[in-house]
Amino acid sequence: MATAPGVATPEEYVGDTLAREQTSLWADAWRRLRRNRLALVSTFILLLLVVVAIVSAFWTPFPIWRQSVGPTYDPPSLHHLLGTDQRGRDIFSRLMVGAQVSLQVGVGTQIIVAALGITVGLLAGYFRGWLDGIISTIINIFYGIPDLLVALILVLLLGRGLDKIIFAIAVTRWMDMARLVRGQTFALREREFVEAARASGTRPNKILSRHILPNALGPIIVQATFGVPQAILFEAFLSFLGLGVQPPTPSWGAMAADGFHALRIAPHIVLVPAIALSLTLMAFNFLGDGLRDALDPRQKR
Amino acid sequence: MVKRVPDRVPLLRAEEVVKHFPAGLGASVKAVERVNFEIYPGETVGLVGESGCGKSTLGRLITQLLPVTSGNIFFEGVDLTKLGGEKLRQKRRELQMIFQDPYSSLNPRMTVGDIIAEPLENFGLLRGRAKDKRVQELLKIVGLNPYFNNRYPHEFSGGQRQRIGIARALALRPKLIVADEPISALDVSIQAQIINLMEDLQKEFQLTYLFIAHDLSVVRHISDRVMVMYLGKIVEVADSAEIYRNPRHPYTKALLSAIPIPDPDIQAKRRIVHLSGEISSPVNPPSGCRFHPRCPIAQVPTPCADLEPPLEEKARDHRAACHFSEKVPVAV
Repeated sequence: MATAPGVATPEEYVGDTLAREQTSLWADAWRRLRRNRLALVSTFILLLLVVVAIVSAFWTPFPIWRQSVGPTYDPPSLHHLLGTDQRGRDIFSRLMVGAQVSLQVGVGTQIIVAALGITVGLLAGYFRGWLDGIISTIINIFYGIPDLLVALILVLLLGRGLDKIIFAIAVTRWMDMARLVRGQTFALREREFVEAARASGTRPNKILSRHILPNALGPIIVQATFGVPQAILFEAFLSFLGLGVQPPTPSWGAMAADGFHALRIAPHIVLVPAIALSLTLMAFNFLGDGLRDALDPRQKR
Repeated sequence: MVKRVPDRVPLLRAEEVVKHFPAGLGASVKAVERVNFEIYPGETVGLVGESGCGKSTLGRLITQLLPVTSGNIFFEGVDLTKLGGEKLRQKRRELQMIFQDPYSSLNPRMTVGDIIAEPLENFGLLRGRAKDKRVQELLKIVGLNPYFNNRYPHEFSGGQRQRIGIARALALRPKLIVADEPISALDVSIQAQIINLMEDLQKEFQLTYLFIAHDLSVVRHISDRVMVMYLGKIVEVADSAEIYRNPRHPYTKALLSAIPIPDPDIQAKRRIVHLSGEISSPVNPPSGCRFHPRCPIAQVPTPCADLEPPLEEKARDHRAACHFSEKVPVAV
């Protein structure tokens, strides 16, 4: 039998040369994201949007609710950068506050969706069996009901406050996240490091929070990023139908609806919020694509 | 080289252990079929067989990562298959596992220090500074720099990662370690280092190993006894030296002849037993002796195709499951 070297003394650690540079996985992802120009431009647009939304909470060129700050249906000019609407309100000011509404709806919805979807998905995916059966059935039922119907009923029941609208949209949007997390958990629970954790006596709550969730975070972030524009669009749609946030709070959807009847004489009233909405949706989608490539480099090849 | 096992009270005893996985439409994969064996304190038992023979499943049944379909696994007299929840969790302290793939057995989002500390935290054994000290000590024991405790697994090579996995298994000072092909994913040059480390640790901490591998050459070096598995059944058990000198099952013989000998003259003269065909399906295992469709000495149909040979004593401490074990040619 070969004589084995004794347990290593400090002079002869096999581990003194590391195989790779010290980089965290997140730093690696950020490096990849930075090389994606579309995602970078999108990030910039979205940061600008956030700044605008924050500023609008303290200052806008004109008060958004006051009518007749200028003539009605006024096209863009130096005084009113994006013109005025049918009541003579400053569209630029209203657009700024609208950004606030859109971001709150988009991000707020996704926070609820993530909290609900992650919890439900982890439980179904890890414990499987009857729990998974119940949860999967509920998910399928929710998929079966038209989301517009659910949202309309909830808005009618609860009222048109921003928080209620966020809740109503989240109720129609949590299933994708739950399914994603369930699938990820299914796959991750079979990985050897999860087996190793079980073998060393790790309790299920810790296995979920320390081993499974952190490793599913990449796809969750991507899913949430794609979920934001969906929620924003849904809110805009509700507002366009007149069931969104309570006027006079300006929502981009409501602003577009306001100008709809005057499309021929003052197209800017519709175009301005529509373009803002499109840019925001595109930015979120490109960022989502970029994040997916950055967080899961295998998928790109 | 073989250390005789002094006391005959087994640390672990498996009785009629069966594991079937449902395979849809009422069919099932018969991964482990009525397996019996013992592991004695302080010994290393090698478990050998080709891919898909059920050896990894058996390892996971012993560590209760998978529930048995039927049968009993006694660890120090306690039937693990009857334990659940907290009682089983407590037992896990004595029964650890080393995994095959050093890339997937370490959580990529945790630092090495956290990975090794987790077993300690699970049982509230050490806290704060004492815990950190123990983690660094464990890193030192497996030959890694103790100051790499805040690094992530992907910064390490395969061999280094396997050492981390070993440190994690040692953290709870277990009695039995099931090593599931711990070196088959490593470079050949690294394999010997890991084997040697495991041997050193065994001496130092009085460990008992169940060492799972798919070829006999690896197991020969480290094992006191060897079990050979084929299609869910144990077909031969004997002392390591004995099984190499005098295999009593044609399958063991075939595995042995597949080990290359580093001498071209001897290698040229050897008779290599080529097995025909693939391993049979564990969904529908052959009747009688499961090995008979591939066996060079089988007599079909009687008895090999219709009578299952029992695992019986062919020589002292040497059991084999073959109707014609005396016809198995002696090893080269």
